[in-house]
Amino acid sequence: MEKVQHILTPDTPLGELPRARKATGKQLAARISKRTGLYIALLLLACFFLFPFFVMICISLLPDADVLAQVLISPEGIIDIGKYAAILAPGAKYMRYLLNSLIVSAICAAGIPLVSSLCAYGFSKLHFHGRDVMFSVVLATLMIPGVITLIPLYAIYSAMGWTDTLLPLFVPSLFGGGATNIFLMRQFFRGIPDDVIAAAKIDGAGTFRIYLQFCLPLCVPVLLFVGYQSFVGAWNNFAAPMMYIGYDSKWIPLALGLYFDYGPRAYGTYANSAMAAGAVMTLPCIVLFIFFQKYLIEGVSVSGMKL
Amino acid sequence: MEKTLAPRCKRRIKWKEEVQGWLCIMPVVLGILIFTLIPIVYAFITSFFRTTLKPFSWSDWGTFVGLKNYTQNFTVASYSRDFWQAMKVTFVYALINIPLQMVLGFLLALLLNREIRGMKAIRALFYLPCLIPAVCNGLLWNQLTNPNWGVINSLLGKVGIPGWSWFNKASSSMPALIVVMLFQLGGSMILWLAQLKNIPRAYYESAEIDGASKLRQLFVITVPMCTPMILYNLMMSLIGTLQTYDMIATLVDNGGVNNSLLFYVVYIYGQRMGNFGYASALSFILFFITAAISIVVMKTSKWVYYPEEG
Repeated sequence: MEKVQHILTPDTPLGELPRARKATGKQLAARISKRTGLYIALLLLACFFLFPFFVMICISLLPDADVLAQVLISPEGIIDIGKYAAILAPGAKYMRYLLNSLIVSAICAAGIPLVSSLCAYGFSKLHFHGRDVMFSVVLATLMIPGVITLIPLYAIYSAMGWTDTLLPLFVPSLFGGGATNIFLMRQFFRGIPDDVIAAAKIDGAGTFRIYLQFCLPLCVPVLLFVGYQSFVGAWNNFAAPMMYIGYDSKWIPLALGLYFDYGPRAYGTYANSAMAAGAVMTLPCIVLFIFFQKYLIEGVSVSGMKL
Repeated sequence: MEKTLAPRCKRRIKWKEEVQGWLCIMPVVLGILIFTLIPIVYAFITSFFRTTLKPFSWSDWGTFVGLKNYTQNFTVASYSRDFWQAMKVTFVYALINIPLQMVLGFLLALLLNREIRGMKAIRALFYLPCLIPAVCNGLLWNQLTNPNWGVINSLLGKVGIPGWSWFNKASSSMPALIVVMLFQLGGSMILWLAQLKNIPRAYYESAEIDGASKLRQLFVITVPMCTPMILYNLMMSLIGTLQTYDMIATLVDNGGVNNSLLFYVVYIYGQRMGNFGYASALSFILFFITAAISIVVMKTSKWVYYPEEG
């Protein structure tokens, strides 16, 4: 009763209540129109960015007769999935390319996170002489252009009989997993307090047990991130297969196969076959991105913090 | 007593820890030794010889030519022409493309750095083109701009934009490449967004109370807080741009019309088979350039502001 009375006292500016409501209504309308404007602008921009995808898929679905007509959609309205069928047919050479790419990418995706986390554990949580010097050496390798080692490695691999095999594509990365990955993992391990590790030690856990049972489970997000990066990196790798694997090898991965069949030096290619093959190569990257999106953002924010 | 004890404790090496430590980092030590150090030494020795690329052998190094593989870039016309063309292409591209990508990526990130419904999906849409492998991207634009059946000019014609020669003329190749790379802006945008998220809200709130305009907030808070990312982005783009290869190899044949897209690494790859010694010398020149630029960027990075201890 008292409350009601209080609200209805003549002191309360009664007249202002409806006016205020009207103003918020106006504001709301302005906000809604502003927001829809923003959405429309963003979607238009998104359309621009999606243009390459759109074109790639449209062309890959064109029937052969319309490829030279410079159209995106067949005038007769035919959607031809024949090019995809040809790629995915059992026994087609693309299945071989796909398999080769999958082998390399899977080995890298499983191996690189493990190896680089082991090295990063050594660099962050163990104390030994030469550790920091060695770590600067590892970071210094970041500055070395890939081409400087790729070409002489060809001579070495061919003396060892490794050319025209998949070995050069994954064996080097299993030795350490690359400076960026070690750096990233080390940043993560450094976040684990030393006291916790000392406590585990007092409980009798050995150095490697602490790594396996304690540190690894803590850094699953970054392991997944590095695994994702390694998979996509191996999948997209072009310079190395280009260097070590020739035309007539049976170990051609997808990136190189695409170049041989539809690259600027291949003649008489059809745009629709090329785009279908490109779409097949792009698809796993997108699917994985959707799955790992969360870890990707986290990983980027870790890796981008300090250099 | 304490003074004598402390150094003695320090000096005593704990062998178990030493061995365990080195065992942990053994993969990367071996990796650097086998797959980086040995090839680099090999390439360095080879860069003083005239030889073709062939399986490694201890006995056959080719003909010793001294520093000629390095100096012929300046003295022999047939080499210097391509060498300086490659330098020009790479640096023109770096000087235009890196700042352009950074600024536009930053603006894009500012635009997308707000919490409205569906923003995550919109960001993903902007980022998607970066997921197209460089090889596929090269093939895609190669097909789109083909003079005989490329779709892009007929599409542009439909919206009233006159056709363009794209990669089919020397003069338009570089602008065309920069236009094509605009579709990759999402990559730097994601990095910027991660950095923008790290800026505490409170800074903006107190600026608002002090009456600072949005534009002033941008230059006084956002940009300084983003400087670590600017440095990171700059370094990574520089190192990456100097090594541009995948996209160009699949986009145009051998450096494009009149070598208008003869990037430095494309040039090296072109020389590697018949002229291994020269290709090695070129790679070392690239290495020195990369190192010099990185050192200059790092030494002049006083403008970078680290919020916590850095």
